[in-house]
Amino acid sequence: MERKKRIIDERGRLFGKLSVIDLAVVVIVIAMAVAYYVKTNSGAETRTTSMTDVTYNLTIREVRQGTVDLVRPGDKVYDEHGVNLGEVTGLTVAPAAIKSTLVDGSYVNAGSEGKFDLTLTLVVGCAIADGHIYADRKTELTVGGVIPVVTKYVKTSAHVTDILN
Amino acid sequence: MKKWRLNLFDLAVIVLAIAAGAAFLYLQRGAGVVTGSTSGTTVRYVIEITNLPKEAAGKIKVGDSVTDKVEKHALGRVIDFEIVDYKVSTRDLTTGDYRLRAVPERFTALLTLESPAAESATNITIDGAFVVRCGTEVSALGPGYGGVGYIVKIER
Repeated sequence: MERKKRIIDERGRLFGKLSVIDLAVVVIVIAMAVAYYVKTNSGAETRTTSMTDVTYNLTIREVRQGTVDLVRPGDKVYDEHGVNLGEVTGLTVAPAAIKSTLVDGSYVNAGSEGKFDLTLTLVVGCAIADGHIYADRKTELTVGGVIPVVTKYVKTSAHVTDILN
Repeated sequence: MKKWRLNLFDLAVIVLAIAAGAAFLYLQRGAGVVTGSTSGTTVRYVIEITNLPKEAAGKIKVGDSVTDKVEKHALGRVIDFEIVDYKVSTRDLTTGDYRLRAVPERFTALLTLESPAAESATNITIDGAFVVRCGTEVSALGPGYGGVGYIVKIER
């Protein structure tokens, strides 16, 4: 009598050929690859959009003189993942201005001794899609957003305070 | 003895291991940015160690080797130092302004360190992995003293 062919044989192989465990591992690897692709291409439209130079301001708040001295026009700025945020084309330094409360509970614009607000003007190639601006196609610029930033000499965080064009 | 042959399962495990290794290296790179080519140099920079008692401040000497207490990186040798009052920013409740006020019997040590370094277009690295940037927090350990502060200056 002809033996009935089983879907999974006694050694756990599908149709006697492929191990179920092997198949599961292959499926996991493919799923990971797909997930990675989707994650890294989530701004898929930005991949196909041409790059436009965008000028914007980043303000580094309440830093000491040592930090102020180490940022200069021409410096390149990156985010914490190494994404290019542009080149410094201008900078202004002002005494730090912070919102502070008084004893009566009211808020005032106050100063902070020994601290400065450093505003950088940067130019960076951006992909623009549906009004969203992605520096170097990756980091979205939004006014009010805070970005951890580094230069060759400085590590800090900065607020996007204006997008000029 | 059965001869070992590479099967699909083994291959998948190897691929996973390589992918995990690559992901680990990528994440470790962190803020290293694009390093490009590097060249040997000497970096001089200043770290602060805050809130020190007088006894600890008195132990600091030129020539001390300073290490990072957490990751054990060699941070360099002390080539100069200055002891100043430890000041904290406190709010004046009448004006709202923040003023620096000295804390009694506490000191800040400003250590100028010198170390061999690898310099690229985007960063300065010492001891193979420690990236020197103003604003980086350090947990410094010298002979008989230690504490926490930031890198506050780099010779540029």
